[in-house]
Amino acid sequence: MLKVVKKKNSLRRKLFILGMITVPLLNFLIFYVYVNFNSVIMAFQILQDGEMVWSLKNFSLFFEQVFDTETVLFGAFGNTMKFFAVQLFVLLPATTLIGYFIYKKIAGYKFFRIMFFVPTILSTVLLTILYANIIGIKGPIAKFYQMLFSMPTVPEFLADKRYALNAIICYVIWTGFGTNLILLSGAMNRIPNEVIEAARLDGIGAFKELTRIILPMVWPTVTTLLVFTFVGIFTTSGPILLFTKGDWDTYTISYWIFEQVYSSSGRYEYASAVGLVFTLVALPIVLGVKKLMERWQDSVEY
Amino acid sequence: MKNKIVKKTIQEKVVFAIAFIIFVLYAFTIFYAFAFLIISALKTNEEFVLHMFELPKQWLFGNFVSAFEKLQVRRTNMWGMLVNSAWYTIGGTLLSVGCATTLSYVVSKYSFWGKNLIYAISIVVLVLPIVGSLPATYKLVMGLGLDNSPFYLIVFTSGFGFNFIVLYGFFQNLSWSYAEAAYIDGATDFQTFIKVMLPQAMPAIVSLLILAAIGLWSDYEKPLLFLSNLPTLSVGLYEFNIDMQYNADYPTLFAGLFISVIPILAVFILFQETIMSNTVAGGLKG
Repeated sequence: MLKVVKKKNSLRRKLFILGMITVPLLNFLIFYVYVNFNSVIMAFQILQDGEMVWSLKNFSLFFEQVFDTETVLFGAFGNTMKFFAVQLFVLLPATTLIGYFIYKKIAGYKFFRIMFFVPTILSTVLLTILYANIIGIKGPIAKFYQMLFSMPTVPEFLADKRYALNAIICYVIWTGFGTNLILLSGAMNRIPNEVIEAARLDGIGAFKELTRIILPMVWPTVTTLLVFTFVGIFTTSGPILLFTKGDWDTYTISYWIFEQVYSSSGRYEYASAVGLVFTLVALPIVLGVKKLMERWQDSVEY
Repeated sequence: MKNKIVKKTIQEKVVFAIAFIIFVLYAFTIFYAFAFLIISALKTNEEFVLHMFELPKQWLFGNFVSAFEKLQVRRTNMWGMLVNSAWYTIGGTLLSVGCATTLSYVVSKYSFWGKNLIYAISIVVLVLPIVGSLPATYKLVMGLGLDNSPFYLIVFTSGFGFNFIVLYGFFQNLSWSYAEAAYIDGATDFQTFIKVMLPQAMPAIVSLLILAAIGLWSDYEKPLLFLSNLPTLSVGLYEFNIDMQYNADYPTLFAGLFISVIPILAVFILFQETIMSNTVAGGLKG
């Protein structure tokens, strides 16, 4: 399969290889290794009398806050889990289904494929402004909702504790099919035609065709997307900054960390500690999911 | 063409019809949002405030022209934002995909000390669920003085990540015999890479370039943090929208938003077949 140059590399070749990898490796050492190393160091430091000193206070503060239902962090954790659940249980399965119908050439499939991808092309700033206006108090959706539940006033979805998070979740679903759809469509299109045709001739129904033939054959892609979803378990979020800036109980962990940096409140060390704890919790989960997926994956080869 | 032999059963037809209806509804929401963008860009401000979801009385196409003057954030107008978006997008795209290309090419095609380590790193980078490295990144970028400068683009020379995995898979499946033929003709490694192997990888590279460009053109978090004095279109429009709490000018905002979409939409329409058929990510083994 892979044919690697076997002879001992000449000096010229060594220089060529070095030239090809030096820049990316330097970047990796500085912006990944050093940054993450420094991030861990920062987690164990606090500012005291204008000087950085070693301390575990960031962690003790974190464990006080994260279990206290009154704190922003507690809410941010809960919201992040909601966004994660949406990715895992709504977006990934829905995208797989959409990919299936497009693969089966549903009427107008080329057009729909573009439609589902369009939100990925348009900038988040544009989409959030459009969405906020359309679901706003003057928009058709709020009025319809008011009529439906015969409410005295028009609900302000993005400025109300009861609705704000769900409104952002709806936005995330509305705009969230594109990238994964491309990958799943790409994988489905590589399934050999004969396999599908043979199965159809054997009288297999559409549902079984999806679960017994198509899904197993695109399983490597599905598992990759699943692993990515779990990698983002504590970093999934919506565009909180553009919608609410965390108001109306819409903080997520990643927006909270962004805010610690952006608002120049200067709580870099505390934010690093929070990030570190969540990383350490996520790591075994991701590794477990990856192992599990690999075990399932080995069964299908074509 | 597929499945002509076997007809769909009634239940299948029903399921497909339901899916079709859902798809049409979804497409309608996208069109609705787009129509809202365009009609809002063509109104007067008063009309927008009073009759937000109605057609404009007069179609003010001049709004698109005046947006270039009126749309200003601090000292940067829309031309400046376009320029900032352009260098940010083009520079970041070329650097990130370029580095991923050179790195994945030698790792998949040559054997050298550290090769397996690099591959292992690429997997680790993808699956390590790092949550909070932003503060440390911020400190480093500020410390190096890369903020508010095109030198910030250095952060994009990474080469690892999604692009690496896609290109690594692609190069692995690319036959080495062309390269061998080139060597026999006396080509150097570099010439072989540029003239023989790279052209064959172009479809995959182009689709990654476009996906990267789409992402960077729309990116607002990094430019907001690191390029606050050089606002890109996304940042500029975001800040203009926030400033409107005091001085509303919605048609200018929507005209600007519409203009900001055009370049990336054009690129997408030109290359959509390439993106749809060449972006393939297999498994993550290792």
